[in-house]
Amino acid sequence: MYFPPGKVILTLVVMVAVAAGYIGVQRAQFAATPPPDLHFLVFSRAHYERYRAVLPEFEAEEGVRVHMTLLNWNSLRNRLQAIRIAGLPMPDLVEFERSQFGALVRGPLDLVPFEPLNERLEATGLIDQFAPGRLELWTRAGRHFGVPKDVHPVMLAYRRDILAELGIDPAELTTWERFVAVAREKIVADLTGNGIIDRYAIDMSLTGNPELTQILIAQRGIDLFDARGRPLMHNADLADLIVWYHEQTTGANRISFPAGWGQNLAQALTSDLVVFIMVPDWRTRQIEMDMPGMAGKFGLMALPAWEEGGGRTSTFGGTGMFISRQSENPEMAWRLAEFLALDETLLESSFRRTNIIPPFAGAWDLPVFDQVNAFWQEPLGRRFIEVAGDVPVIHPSPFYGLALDRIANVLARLRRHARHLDAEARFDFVMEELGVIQSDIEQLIERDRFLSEEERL
Amino acid sequence: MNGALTRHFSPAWFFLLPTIAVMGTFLFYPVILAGVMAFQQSSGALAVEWIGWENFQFVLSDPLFYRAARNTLIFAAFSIFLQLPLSLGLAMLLNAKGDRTKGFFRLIIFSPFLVGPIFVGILFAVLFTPRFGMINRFLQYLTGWGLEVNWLSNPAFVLPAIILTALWMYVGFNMIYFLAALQSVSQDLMDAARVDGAGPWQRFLHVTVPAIKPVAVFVVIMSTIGSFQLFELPFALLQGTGGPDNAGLTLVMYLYNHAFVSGDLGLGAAVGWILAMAIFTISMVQIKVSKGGDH
Repeated sequence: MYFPPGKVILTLVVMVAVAAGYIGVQRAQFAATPPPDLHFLVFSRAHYERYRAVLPEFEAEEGVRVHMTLLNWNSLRNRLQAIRIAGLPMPDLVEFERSQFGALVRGPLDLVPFEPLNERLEATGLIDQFAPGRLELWTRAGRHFGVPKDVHPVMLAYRRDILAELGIDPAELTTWERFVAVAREKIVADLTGNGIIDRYAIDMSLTGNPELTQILIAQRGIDLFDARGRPLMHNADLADLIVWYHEQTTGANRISFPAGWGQNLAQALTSDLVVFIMVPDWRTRQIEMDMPGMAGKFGLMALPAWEEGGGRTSTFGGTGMFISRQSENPEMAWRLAEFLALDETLLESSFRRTNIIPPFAGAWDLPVFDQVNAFWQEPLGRRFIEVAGDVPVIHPSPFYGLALDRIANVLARLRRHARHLDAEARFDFVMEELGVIQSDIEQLIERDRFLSEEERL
Repeated sequence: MNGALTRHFSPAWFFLLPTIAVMGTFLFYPVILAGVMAFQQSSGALAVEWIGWENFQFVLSDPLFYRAARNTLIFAAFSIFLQLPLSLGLAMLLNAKGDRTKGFFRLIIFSPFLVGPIFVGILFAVLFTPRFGMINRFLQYLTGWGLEVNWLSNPAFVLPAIILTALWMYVGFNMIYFLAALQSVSQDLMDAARVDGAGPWQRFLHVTVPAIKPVAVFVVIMSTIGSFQLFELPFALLQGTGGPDNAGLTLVMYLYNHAFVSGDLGLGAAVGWILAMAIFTISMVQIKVSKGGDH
């Protein structure tokens, strides 16, 4: 066959024609399928699988079709940011993680891409059913944008066998002061006499892994931002906590080892290097999966309080469900959100699969939470529910992650200067550093021209 | 009219059109848009305000920006003055004649590049673990010190850890460029220099270096650009943070934090433009300096 421009060009033309034909056929097939009534984006595979099991029931009841898409955590964040930036329609219902909230609801309040749910929550009475503080996690300027999916109370998991061997009763570790004293006296030890410590009391990141530090910050009753989003970091309690954290993670008297995550953590726990670890409900499931051979060796206790009678829990992580402001069917999206949040079968299967307790106090009576967990050998759900009512309130901010990073940096700087400072000077040093963080974050907030009047500094 | 059109319309434009369309849509338009955004504060498509140079003023007065710039520059310097000489050295070793194993070693040294920075970052985060990490255990075994070193928690060790990781990952990649350049060095010139009594060092300096210079300049510029764009490796290694006391914060991580974590795209765009200008200036200087010796 003769083709004047040559065989290469002919090949290219054929390839383009084939590709165009394929796309055309795909488009035709896509156009022939009726569009779903609701689009739903999720990032957790565990959620996706359980929702998929119950969605047909919802679809049959309501006579609608729901298209659910699973995206990786980062992909979901990028997708939502891109949608927000470009002003494209947001899917009707979206689930995302706590750290993304602040950035996604920035801007003028009336242009936040999610519907405020205050009226719906009040009309259904749900507003009074959540564990304390869970709605605040998804609230900006009084508008509740998200339906909480969890509470994530934090407890201490400990090596039951080691404590028994050392004659330590976990019930006596009621305060951190007592905990540190017992750790120094009985737990931290160089067992082989080679100058290397073989057993530490607790897993704590050396530089204050932001999330782990946040557990202690919240438990101490310190909120880094108030309800209006104003920073509260220049705070004597926080400075005191940072100095305390430094003492437990650095120097000859330290009681902690930075065990990290995943396999490193598993190795530290299984090799008896670390005895205690802070666990929100979801992390207990990770321990079960990473260390199946340790069944029966772990126990759970409430966090030691900062002062006698003080709060014995904290919170770590969180997921919420959001209805798009542009949804063509917000009523149906709300019904789906309600169904996914309240369906008892779903709550039970969710707990069995993830150990995560729901945020609705009304659901805490379900029998599944009283069942003894084979790995922990105690009713895991009930143990977390016992402390869920005391979970501290955390107010969100687009700068929450930045604030935690900066606090971790204060720890790093304190470590560098600590040897030249006595206890009082360390406190002053930290206070000064916290003042700088506060001022820097205030500056970032002041730059925001889209804040409502009530949010202005 | 038709004649003029035909006269000016070359078939070349027809073939260039797809490239121009793709480049225009995915390169030029975003670059221009980023330029516009750098002078705006925006929150979604509907909330946009012109704020002039305010984003640039904020960035240039932020100590954290200078911290990120300092870290990036140190990393770039190590890339050029440590990584590239090592790559060249390895390339020269593997360019030796008659060694049947060199194909195997080329593959081994190049292979870290194939797995990607995220995987390498995660891998090294495990290797650098105190007490259990292979690097710490190896150091302890070798020197009696190092078991408890917190590479990624001690500000003094964070940048060396990133540099070491990048070295492992990229040294083989740059080696391939040098290897290709070395294989094009004229053997006749080498032989002539040898006959003239030039020793190995003189042959390297006066024959090899001039012959591989164009490739070397290219590799230096690409390494510099790559170093300024460093993001995934420290991001994975430091679990999405800038490390203790921001010792591992790079310019692109600084940009990412403002643009995507805190959601201030205008600020991110301003950082992007400053970064682009810095890369452009440094690359121009490198090209100029490298041309300086050509006579």
